[in-house]
Amino acid sequence: MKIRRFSGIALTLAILGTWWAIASLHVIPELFLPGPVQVVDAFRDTFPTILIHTAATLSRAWAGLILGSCLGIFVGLAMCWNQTVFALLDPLVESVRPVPAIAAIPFFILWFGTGSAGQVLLISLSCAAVLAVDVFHAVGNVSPLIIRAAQSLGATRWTVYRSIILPAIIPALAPGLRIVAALSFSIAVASEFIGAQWGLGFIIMRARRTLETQTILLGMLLIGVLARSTDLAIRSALNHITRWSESSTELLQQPREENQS
Amino acid sequence: MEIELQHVSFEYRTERRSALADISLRIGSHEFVAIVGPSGCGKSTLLNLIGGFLQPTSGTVLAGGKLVAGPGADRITIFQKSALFPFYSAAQNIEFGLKLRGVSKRQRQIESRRVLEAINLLDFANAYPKELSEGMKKLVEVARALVLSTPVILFDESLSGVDALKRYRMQQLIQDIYLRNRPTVIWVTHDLEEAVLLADRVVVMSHRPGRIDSVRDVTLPRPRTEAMRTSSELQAIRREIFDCLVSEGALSEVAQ
Repeated sequence: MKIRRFSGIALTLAILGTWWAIASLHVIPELFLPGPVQVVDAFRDTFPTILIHTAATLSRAWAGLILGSCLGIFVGLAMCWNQTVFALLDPLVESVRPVPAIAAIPFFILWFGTGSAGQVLLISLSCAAVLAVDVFHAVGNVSPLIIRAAQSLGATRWTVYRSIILPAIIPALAPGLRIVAALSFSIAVASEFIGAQWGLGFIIMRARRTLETQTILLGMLLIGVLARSTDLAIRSALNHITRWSESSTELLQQPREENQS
Repeated sequence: MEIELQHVSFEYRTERRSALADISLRIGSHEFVAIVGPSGCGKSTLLNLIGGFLQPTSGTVLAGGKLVAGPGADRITIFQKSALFPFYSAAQNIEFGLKLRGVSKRQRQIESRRVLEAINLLDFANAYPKELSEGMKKLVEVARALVLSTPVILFDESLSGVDALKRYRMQQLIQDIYLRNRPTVIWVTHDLEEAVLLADRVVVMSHRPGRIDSVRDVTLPRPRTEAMRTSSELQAIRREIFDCLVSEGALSEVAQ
């Protein structure tokens, strides 16, 4: 098991090694492909302010993700409440969802300035629009038997939603949550490109003007680290919350005896 | 609690044929009534009408003298497929109904331990449904009703998914629970022996549209023991019901 766990890390190290080897051969100009050494130098040069930029991006993405998830779950559940709410919200959600959030950035800057509020709001809305659809379909797949059971035990509609539907849909929301987590970083960085004084997107944009490609690469790597850590955190939280649910993945991954000789 | 059906008919919207036609039946308080009949005769529909999950096309369904308008905690149905909340432990499943009634956490724990003990599953209090066998799941569902002192428990082919040996044990356990708590029980099954072993009365239904063909009293003394299963009295009643179903053409489907 340990070998399997480290194989992913080994692959990452192999790619880093290849990158380092290509960069140190100097066949590609440094401007086009800065090596790991240059990136580490860039980190040292910008330390400690780079950490503040990283924290800025992380906090925006997380704030937007959390607010957006709550909003999305609320809207999704509301759409299931009755036909009237559905008719009211469905066109809105379905017309907001396909519009790329990036297209709205100029307006958000105009309305909210270059502070975090507008960025967080934009991330929230994008995440919410995606999750609302997930929630809506997940509710439709909840076993009618457990809803009947709750009703016959005396649950009101409100209780059914809060105590039965909400926990029941979490496993089905896992993929959506992981996707919007990545989305929140994309939108955070994109909005920092256009208007912000802090954040990794801002660092990348500033470095672009002066052609400091090593700093651009550093920014990219840091975004990757943030997104990866966020995904791991979400996955481990979900694994804990949905420990009651039956998963087929393990079953499928078990080696079948007849194939082994 | 008494259950009364008066000239109840039911038609599914998608089908022109009626599923139930003019059913009148009175089930007394604390009575154990089994309903048998060929598949598709409307046994489950009848149970869903009493459970309040369906409304009759015509006629009335009364529970405790009151018109059944929807599902309620006075009539709990135990279906063939598990309806336990998969995200709650056995104990939490049992406590759910109490929580809805505003019972304190401390009291809820005492009550759930009590019923878990009654069904011999105290060791599984913290297990999630996925960790329980089919038989255990059924027992936890029964416990979920018992803890509320539900006056009417409806069983819809509840033991169909349980293997034969466990089924015998479960039938005895259900009888024990019935004798101790005396709820009104309506037990839908296609197992005639089970029906005769458990019930005070066996209602035999016939096919399309579903109607009551006959009602057979079972006067065997309680508790009904495992030995009675093979007794000539029980087998005679079983045979009688079987003949009744055959004469109705219930087995024609199989013969085809």
